[in-house]
Amino acid sequence: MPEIRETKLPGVGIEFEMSCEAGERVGVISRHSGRREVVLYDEDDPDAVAARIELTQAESAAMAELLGGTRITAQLAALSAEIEGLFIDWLPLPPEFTPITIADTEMRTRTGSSVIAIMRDGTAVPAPGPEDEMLAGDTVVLVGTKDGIVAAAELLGASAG
Amino acid sequence: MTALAGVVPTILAAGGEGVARTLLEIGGVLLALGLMARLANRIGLSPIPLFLMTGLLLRDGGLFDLTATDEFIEVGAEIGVVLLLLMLGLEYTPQELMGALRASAGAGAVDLVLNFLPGLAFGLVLGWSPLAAVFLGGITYISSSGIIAKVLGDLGRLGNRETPTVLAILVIEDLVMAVYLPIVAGLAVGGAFSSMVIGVVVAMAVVALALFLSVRHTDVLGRLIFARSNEVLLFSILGLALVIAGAAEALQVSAAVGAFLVGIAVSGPSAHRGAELLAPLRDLFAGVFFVFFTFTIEPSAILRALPIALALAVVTAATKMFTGWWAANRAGIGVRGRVRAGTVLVARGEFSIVIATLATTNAVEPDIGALATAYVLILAVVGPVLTRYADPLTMRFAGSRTRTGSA
Repeated sequence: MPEIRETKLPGVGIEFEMSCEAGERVGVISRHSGRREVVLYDEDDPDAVAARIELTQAESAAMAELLGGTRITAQLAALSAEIEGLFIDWLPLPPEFTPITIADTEMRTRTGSSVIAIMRDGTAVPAPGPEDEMLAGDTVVLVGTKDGIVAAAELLGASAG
Repeated sequence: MTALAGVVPTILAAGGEGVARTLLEIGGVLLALGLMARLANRIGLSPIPLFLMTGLLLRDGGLFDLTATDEFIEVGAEIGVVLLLLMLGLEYTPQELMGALRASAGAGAVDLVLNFLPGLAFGLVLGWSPLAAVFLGGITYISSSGIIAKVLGDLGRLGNRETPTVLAILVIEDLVMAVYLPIVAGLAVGGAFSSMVIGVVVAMAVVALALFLSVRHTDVLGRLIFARSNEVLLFSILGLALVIAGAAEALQVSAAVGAFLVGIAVSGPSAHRGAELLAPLRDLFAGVFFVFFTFTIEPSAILRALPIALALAVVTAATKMFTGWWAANRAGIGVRGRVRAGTVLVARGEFSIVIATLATTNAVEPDIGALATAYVLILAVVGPVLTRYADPLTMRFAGSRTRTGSA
């Protein structure tokens, strides 16, 4: 989690700010009125705002959804329209992931979710069997209930957003 | 407006009297203010100087002859002052007040000394009474939080590093007003020395108590008047402010001070939503207040006051710019940010006029209204323009030095 700096703006609201890995600094001004401003600092003059976007409360909620890795919500919204209660999610495995076979995770018994595909180096292993291994850097495709997918993500130590 | 000039007499000639005339006049004034506000938006300026000009055009002996609306405009102006002060108190949370004081007390002190003294000195040099000079000191000291907050928002500078420093200075100025206004109001009422001292002491004690209650104790008044319904909250908060303002006026403490106290004593959700509900009302009646204020001034007196106002404006623009520069420098801001902080503080506006009104209604100094008008006319325009071009100006005068310094 990057470090977030907080500055009080008396009479206006609060500003939160963080530095990105690439060097840019980005801030969010949260006004008392509920409006938000996303600001990007000037590389030339670090005290000044170079660009900004003003968002209403609803727009900032939508923006947070888009940014917040809630892939579940976005994809599931489309899918659940077809099959009630069934969800699919793409789960990238972290680099420090320890290889494990699907059988060893006991995923289906413990979470009710199933791995329906493993994507590795641009190719997919569709319908993997219990003996198939998941490796660090793979993306696994899960199917299950919404809660089941979240539980499976926790089991694999990946973030389901 | 020229169209109105032709229409109004025609309609009146058709037999409109009484109510009809009053409605026409109030509507005409509001339409004129609307036009001015539209023009101000178009050219990116504060509407305050244009509202003052409107008043000068509309006053008796000006372009039109407003007679039916005297009472409405007079009362409306009073309500405008009450709303300006009430909102000032409502806009800050106690935490913001204390935070600003802790973080920027030094900058606040520099601001007070550098910008109060020029006004005081000018007043004394002009041969005014010491009390009138103290009023002029207040007029030159108080920047316009309204204009400055709007300029910062419009220019997208709310996220800038120097902005917290600027805002903290504004908060401290407003806090100083809480103490300054009751003192000068008490002094202006005059009377026997002992009663004057008692009045000032009582007023200060009440201000201190309101500040203390607001900061130390939970929001008693706010919870008393809190209501989910906007309607209930609006009536409660406005009613309370007017009642307290009226009571303060009856006790010769000045209605403005009473309203400010109500604003400070109410915090939490009531203050938040109350401020939102009252903002359009404040805009409406503050506009009427500016118009009415200029009714009390002879346009020729403004012309006479112009040279002094210009000199005062130049001196105090410089001292404000130094104040901002100094404070931003202490906060570790680069050269360009320091210039921005300095220039944004230059604008004077609504509260300089409120102080001038206090001086005029108490007959402290006959020339103070005209001088304050000319002064605000100049700085309410120059301030925002200066700050808009702060960056190019810095680049021009400091050149490459700033670029390498901030890279």
